[in-house]
Amino acid sequence: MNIHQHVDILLAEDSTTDAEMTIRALRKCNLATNLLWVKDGREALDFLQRKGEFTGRTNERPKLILLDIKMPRVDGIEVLRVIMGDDHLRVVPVVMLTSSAEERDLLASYQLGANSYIVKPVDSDAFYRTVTDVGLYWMLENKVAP
Amino acid sequence: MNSTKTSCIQFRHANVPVIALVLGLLTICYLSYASFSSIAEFVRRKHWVDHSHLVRFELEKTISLAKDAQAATRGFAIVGKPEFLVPYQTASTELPEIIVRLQTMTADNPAQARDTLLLKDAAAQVVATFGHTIALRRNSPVAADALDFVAAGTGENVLNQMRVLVARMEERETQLLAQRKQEERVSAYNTQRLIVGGTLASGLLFAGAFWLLSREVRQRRRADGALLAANQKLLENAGRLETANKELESFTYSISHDLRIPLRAITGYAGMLTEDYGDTLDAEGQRLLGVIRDNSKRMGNLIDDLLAFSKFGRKVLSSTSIEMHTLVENVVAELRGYGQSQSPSPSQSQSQSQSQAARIILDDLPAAWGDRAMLQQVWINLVSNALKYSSKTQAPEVRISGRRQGGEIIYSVTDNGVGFDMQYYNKLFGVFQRLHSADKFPGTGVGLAIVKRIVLRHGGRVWAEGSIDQGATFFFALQHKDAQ
Repeated sequence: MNIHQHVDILLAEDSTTDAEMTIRALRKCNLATNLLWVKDGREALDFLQRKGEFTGRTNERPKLILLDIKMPRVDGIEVLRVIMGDDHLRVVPVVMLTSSAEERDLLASYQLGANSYIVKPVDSDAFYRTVTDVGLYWMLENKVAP
Repeated sequence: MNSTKTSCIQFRHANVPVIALVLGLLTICYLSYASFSSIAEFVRRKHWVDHSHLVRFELEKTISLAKDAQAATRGFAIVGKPEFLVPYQTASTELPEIIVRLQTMTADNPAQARDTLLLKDAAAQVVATFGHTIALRRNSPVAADALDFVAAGTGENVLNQMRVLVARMEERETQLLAQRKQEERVSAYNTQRLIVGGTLASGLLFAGAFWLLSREVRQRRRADGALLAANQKLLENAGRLETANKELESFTYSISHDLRIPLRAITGYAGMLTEDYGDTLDAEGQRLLGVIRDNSKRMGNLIDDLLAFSKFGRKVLSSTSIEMHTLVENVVAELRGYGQSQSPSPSQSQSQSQSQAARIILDDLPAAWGDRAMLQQVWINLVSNALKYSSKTQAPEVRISGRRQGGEIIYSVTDNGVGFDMQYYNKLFGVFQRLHSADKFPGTGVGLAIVKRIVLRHGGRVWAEGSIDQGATFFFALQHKDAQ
């Protein structure tokens, strides 16, 4: 990708279909223009810490991070841990968007400081609705840190 | 059976050392008694020896008194001086006294008593004979008559008679003494043997009891060890079972979880197809897409219910006191609200859209103790079932009741709907078991399985009664809080 691309939403999601549906839902309300989709936690961290293929990227923070939990290599909880341990990144709203409704994941996410935890609805209509709501709320209604 | 046998043997074994201990104690008691009576006997024998000596002393004294009287009589007969008569007078007063004492002392021995009587007579004769000599001398100025009488030997004869009697009696006393000493030796020997034997016996009994007891303690310790090991094994097995159960639960959970992702893609992409290319599809194409979406939704519901079922098995109970009446009122209001709302949840839409509003009668319900969220799920499932299966009846009616009975609180939900065939009762509460087709009454067949699971987790029980087209009643019973 172009390292000079401006990124508002970082989507970390290993499932292609879930990612496509998420992007489709966000595109419908014109929120997907500056969206970067990475396929696992390693790529997400590379982007956030400007390493690997993102070396040389500007120090600009995204306005929203959507994190799946179950991902190959580095999982969402680990990415969240790194974000919350970083003074520069900690102010970015992080929404866990996952299929896991396990208490263990819920607890870990909130304990680390996730801003929201959304279980992906099984029903695709509900899924579209939920992703649209999340995008509208965090990108338009919510005020981000300067 | 086996345990009774074992306890019987243990009981018998336990008795043997007790019996030995009691016998040992009894032996010691008997030994004390025997020693005591042996000492008493010894004291008694000692008394008898003294007695024999005393008898002999008195006997010799009679002879000595009689001899003194003889000498005095002879002296008086020769000299005629009355002061010579003192020993005679002493003898005449003391002899009867001594005889009386001897009679008392020999009263227990017939032979000696007989001889004492003879001695009494002999002594009296001695005193009389000497008295006669003294009288002769007194009545005559010269000693001739008296001396003649002495010389005639009458006095000597009666004295000899006394001597013979005394000798015989002394001999008898000596024999008695010897016999008693012999008896004493035998008795002492017996006592000794008794004490030594008794001490040995009680020692053996105590040692035996000690050995038996210590053996029993050892056996019991071994048994305790075996019991402990068995317990340990049981705990390990329970632990393994729990682990297996947890693994199964987490397996169920991850299976259902992983099934959701492709399913969401199917419905999602079918949706995209409809949105983006719906215009270009003819009616048949639209129908086929609809079939894909409907079946994906149905599978989604199945997975959701399976997940819920798995969750109710894993969730930790958090029990509180529950105002059951209020809880059920809310459940009923919520279920009615769904029925009237324009956008009901997909699984309920079909049943409610075709239904007339059911009459719901809510009786007074007793309070209970349990997990509020879980029991609420029980009511939701039971009441929504009753509404669903009575929805095609002319005047649907659902009655909710509760009562205390024994240590339980029994709740029931009755409807006048299609009921069920009791023949298939054993399938009623099974997972994914359905007694009606999904076309007539939609559902996945997990609702009652969840009900059963929750109630069992509360230590309660569930059952149902029904017949085809005659409605059904579902019961669940919870234990009283104080009974738990």
